[in-house]
Amino acid sequence: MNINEHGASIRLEGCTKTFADGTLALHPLDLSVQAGETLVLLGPSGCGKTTTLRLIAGLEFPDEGGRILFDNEDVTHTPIEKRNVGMVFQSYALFPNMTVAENVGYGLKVQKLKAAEIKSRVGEMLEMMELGALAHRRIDQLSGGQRQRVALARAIITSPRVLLLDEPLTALDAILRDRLRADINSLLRRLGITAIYVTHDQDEAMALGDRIVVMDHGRVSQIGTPKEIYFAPQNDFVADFIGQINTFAGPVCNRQMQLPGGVLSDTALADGEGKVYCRPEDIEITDSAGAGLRGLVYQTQFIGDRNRVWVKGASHELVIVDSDGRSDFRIGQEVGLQIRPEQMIVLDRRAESA
Amino acid sequence: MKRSLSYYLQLGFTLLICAFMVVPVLMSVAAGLTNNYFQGLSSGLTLRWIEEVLALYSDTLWLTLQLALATLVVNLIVGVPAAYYLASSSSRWARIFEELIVLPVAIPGLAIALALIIAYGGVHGLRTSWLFILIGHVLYTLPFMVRAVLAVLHSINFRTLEEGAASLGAGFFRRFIDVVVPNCKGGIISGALMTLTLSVGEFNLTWMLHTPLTKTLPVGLADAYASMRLEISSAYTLIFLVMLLPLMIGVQWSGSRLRISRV
Repeated sequence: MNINEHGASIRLEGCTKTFADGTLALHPLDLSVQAGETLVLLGPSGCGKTTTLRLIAGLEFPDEGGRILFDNEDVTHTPIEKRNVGMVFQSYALFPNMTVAENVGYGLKVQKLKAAEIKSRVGEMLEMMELGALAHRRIDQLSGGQRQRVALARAIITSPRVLLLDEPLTALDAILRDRLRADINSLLRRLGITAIYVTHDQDEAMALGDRIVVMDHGRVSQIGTPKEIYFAPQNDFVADFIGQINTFAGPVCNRQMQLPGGVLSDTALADGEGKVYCRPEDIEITDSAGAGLRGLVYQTQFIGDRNRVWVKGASHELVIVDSDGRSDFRIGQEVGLQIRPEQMIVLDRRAESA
Repeated sequence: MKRSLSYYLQLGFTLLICAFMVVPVLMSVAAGLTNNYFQGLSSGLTLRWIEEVLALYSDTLWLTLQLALATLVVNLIVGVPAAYYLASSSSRWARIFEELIVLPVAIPGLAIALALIIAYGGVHGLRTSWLFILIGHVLYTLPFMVRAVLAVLHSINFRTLEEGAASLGAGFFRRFIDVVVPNCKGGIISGALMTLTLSVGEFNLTWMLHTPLTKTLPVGLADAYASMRLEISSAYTLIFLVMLLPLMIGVQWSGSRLRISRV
């Protein structure tokens, strides 16, 4: 079944949003989304990601001066009813007074399609989403995962040009979330639809997004592919927010940084005060004898696929190192830390002060 | 489970209280069915008092039903959208208005009647029409409809449901009919039954506003007690009960349905 030829490209120009009580939820935002792309809006609560999603949806409108375009069509003042988007809400917003089949077919009913056609299209969609057996169930008889799939089916059956998802997996338990994440991912790829996905969960963001927009307090912190965001954060906020990160800060001379536990060599920093970030999986624990940087094991935690070790005394704060799962360390044991230069993350000075 | 003595004492006490309240009603019903009240049951049972009441007061009966249904229609048309508007509005005035709306219930019916006469009594033709009483009934019962629907609206997240419907292309009226109203059904039914029951039984206000041509059952009952045989008034009460009891049970039933479906 051909759900979609293609999705629409989306462009936001200079969009701000001020709420009735005066708070500025969104600073001037420029965003460009390619047709068929899955763009993830990621950030902590209150960062403006849901506001941005609602602007694209047409549930809210940008302040004077902002523009929103779908495929070069100005939809800034078009309300959601006329924007031909599909939306999956955090609470799913399924209609309790209708069955599963009626819920899924509602968008088609509003478009005044013939009953026979609605029936066949709904049937196909329910099969595709593996909901066939539930067609005549009421919503309150469904599990969380089933409701999620009904919400998705309902949103995509009208062949919208843009699909908007507002933290659709947040209400589910961890195992279900993992499974549905993979399902949604393959569904979005198959449909080739343009999707905007809002989440505060980084794993979700990196698994689903072609590109991720990291947001903080109404501003965009960084836009990039998951690998760019993870391996090359452009500022403190992104470095800190994504995954675990270790900070090494101190005076640098001849590319060597002075730290409480010794010396960090081969940093690509200029002389003076400097800061280097490093991911836990990129630090190697070595024998303390002859190591440039030393510390004491403070705590260990076996997580299954790795052994997480906290090392005290090497840097100004605890250093978190992810070691092989089969490794073993005693608390209080003296260890050495080795970081290869290519795995040190150095922020661009100019980006930092932006 | 073995019952203790205190259980039976409490049961006995409760039954006594119930009897205290129910016996007068039963006696009244019995009086309407006996040939001669002062002779008691020994004078024989008869339906002729009921027949006489129906013959004398059939107009009143129809007017009562007409008024109740008309009040219901007005309440549905005015009350449901009003409740929706109050629930959607986040302003302080809406919250204040929600509290004020119950005021007509607290004010004595006689006072409301007097106010209506002063305000609209001069309007040509209105004073002697049944519409005048309709206004009074609506004033008195509308708060119940509004509050019943409002309670349901506050408990469901209808705003998100509306956004969901809107995202599928439904405009305001479409959403209202397809999504908002069906999900308020419990509140609407509850409010409707309340409206019917209150309208049929309303006395204070109607008594002040009525004319010989616009009487309702309760007003007719007052007349009967004042001017006719006890048996006729009692038969009247019987007819009244027959009309009201199904409605009361209906309110109870729809109320318990709501509680079950909410769980």
